[in-house]
Amino acid sequence: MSPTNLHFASLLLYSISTALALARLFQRTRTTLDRAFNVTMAAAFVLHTGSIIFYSRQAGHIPLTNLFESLQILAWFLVLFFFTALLVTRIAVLSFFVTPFVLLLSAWSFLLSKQPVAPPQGAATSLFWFHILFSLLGLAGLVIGVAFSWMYEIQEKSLRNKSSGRLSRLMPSLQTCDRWGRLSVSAGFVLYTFGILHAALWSHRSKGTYLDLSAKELGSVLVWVIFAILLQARMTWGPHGRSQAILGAAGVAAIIVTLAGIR
Amino acid sequence: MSGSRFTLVGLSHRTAPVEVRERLAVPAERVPEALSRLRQIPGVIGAVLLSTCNRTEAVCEMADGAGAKEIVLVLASIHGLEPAFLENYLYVFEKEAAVEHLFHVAASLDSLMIGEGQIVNQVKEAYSKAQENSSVSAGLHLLFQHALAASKKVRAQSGIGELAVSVPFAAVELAKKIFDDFSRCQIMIIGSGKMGELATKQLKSLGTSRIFCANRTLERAVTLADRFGGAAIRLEDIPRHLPDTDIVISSTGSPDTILSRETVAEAMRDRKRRPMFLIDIAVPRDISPDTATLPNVYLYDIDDLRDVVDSNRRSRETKLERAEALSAREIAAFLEKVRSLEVIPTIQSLRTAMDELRKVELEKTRRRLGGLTSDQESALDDLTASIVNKILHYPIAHLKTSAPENADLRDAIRKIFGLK
Repeated sequence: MSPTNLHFASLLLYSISTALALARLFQRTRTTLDRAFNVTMAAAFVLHTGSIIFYSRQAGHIPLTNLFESLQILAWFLVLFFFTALLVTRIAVLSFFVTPFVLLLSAWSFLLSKQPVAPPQGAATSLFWFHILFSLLGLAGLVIGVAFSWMYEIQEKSLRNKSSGRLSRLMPSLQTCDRWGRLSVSAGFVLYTFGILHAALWSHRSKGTYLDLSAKELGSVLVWVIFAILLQARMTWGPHGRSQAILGAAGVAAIIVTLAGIR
Repeated sequence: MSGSRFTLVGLSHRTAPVEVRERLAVPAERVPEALSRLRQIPGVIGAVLLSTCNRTEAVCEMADGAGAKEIVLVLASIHGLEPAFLENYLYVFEKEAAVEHLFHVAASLDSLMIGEGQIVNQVKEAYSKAQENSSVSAGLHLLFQHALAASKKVRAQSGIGELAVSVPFAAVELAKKIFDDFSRCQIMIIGSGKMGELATKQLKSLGTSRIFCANRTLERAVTLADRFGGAAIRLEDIPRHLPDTDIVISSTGSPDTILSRETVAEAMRDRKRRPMFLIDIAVPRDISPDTATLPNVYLYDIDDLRDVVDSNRRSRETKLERAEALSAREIAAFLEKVRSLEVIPTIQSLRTAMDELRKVELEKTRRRLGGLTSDQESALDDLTASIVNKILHYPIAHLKTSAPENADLRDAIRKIFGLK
């Protein structure tokens, strides 16, 4: 089976998983849907992993050198983090926030799908690989953290409005959202910072400058600044539902724009 | 299951007041003795004893013909009560009615607080205890396994257990939306209102250990603190303890505000805006309503809590209907399974008898024909087996499907085919 076919099959299963995650919000019987979601998502992840392995064999290098490859790996890390978070926190509703983003990344990479190409010049250094690896791991952590901040906002809004809708009943407590959100964003931020530092060092070695002010680099810095503000605000002022959720949304938008800047 | 039936004898909050229920309750340490006495009743094949603060019930599998009267005598004698005394309070359910009642109990449809989750564990415990004492018969095993599985399904699919329908419960449910680790939560209870006490009791059961009781008179605060194992403070000391407090339950009879917005705002600064849940059950209100505008402060007064309860009650009615329908479906499925099990011995003897007949006739034919090749023998064997299967198909299918009247049908088939 070719990597493209595997990629397509995983994309199809991610679409079904997203639909199931959405249906879980409206269905009374969640046990069957939960099981169906877990099976579909796990199958998609296996196919996704297979597609990356086959592609790497064909390309002869770790697929982290262009937008198509980076999107594939970012989506893979995101699913890995999602499963880990699901296993640790047991918060099933997390799927509603994460799977659409996984689907977006997977569909985007599929549209860019192409035959393996040689890595760009200067990519042979460990600095380059660490830059990509840390950045993508960091972004996956940040996205999971943002999902928790949105859950916090929904739960807080329902408590403030004194309404107890179906959605609020599915959300975990404010303390849970805050704890896991802070942990994910902090871990993601540290990894992302490492990624940016490695990028600057790699850029200095290969191009003689730490920052060449390209759209991609400015986008990366913008993502870093947004999440730095988010973390700083959380540390200084405590949990703050709405502003945290808005900053998180801005962060995710900046991530998408930055990814689009990768060639 | 053939030749036996289920019998359930007991009393509950529906039939007996607490004074009677507590006299018949069997403490955990006396359950083995009670089970052993139930097992000694002639005709009792197995017994499980469920004893909670709301009910005491003996569920037995009994041989056909054995009466339930002996069970009543045993239940009464455990506590030295006169059977006549219990007569007005006890109920006896037999066969399908016993199954139906147990399924309802396990799904918490017969609970004082419908939908509460504690009863499932109590039924599980009663069943385990009976297993430990080797008093669970095969029929009871099947019954309890199905009742517990059905309970899980009914509660999950109907959502009956999700909604709190009393003010203290609603307060606790709301607290669960804010905090997850109650062992780290500190509670302050201001005043000594009944609902406040009930809510504190519920929160304490979730693991909260640090409780401050504030009252205008220190003596009253001490009394309350002793009851909850907390510390007593005066009303004037509230601001000093507020920054470390996560949940405040106020229910004084004071005409003045006890907690102002400024006091809470100051406390929030000290606690670095960690969430604080304020429950004001007092009328007139103890906590200034504008406190609700402070970030990370969640203030619910008695009307807010009643709104939550009313909305839950409305949803619960629909959920209750759904739960009852689901329970009825599970009961029907279980009874069908039991009935199909009852016909298994008949089906087995029918098959054995017909197969033996076939083999005898086949042997006679073989001897008469003589010199058959192995292919011919095999064809003859297949042919006769196929004829027997075809003949038995309808009787067996009818035995399995026509469950309600299968006792008569079973007897008829036994007579027609000359089965023992």
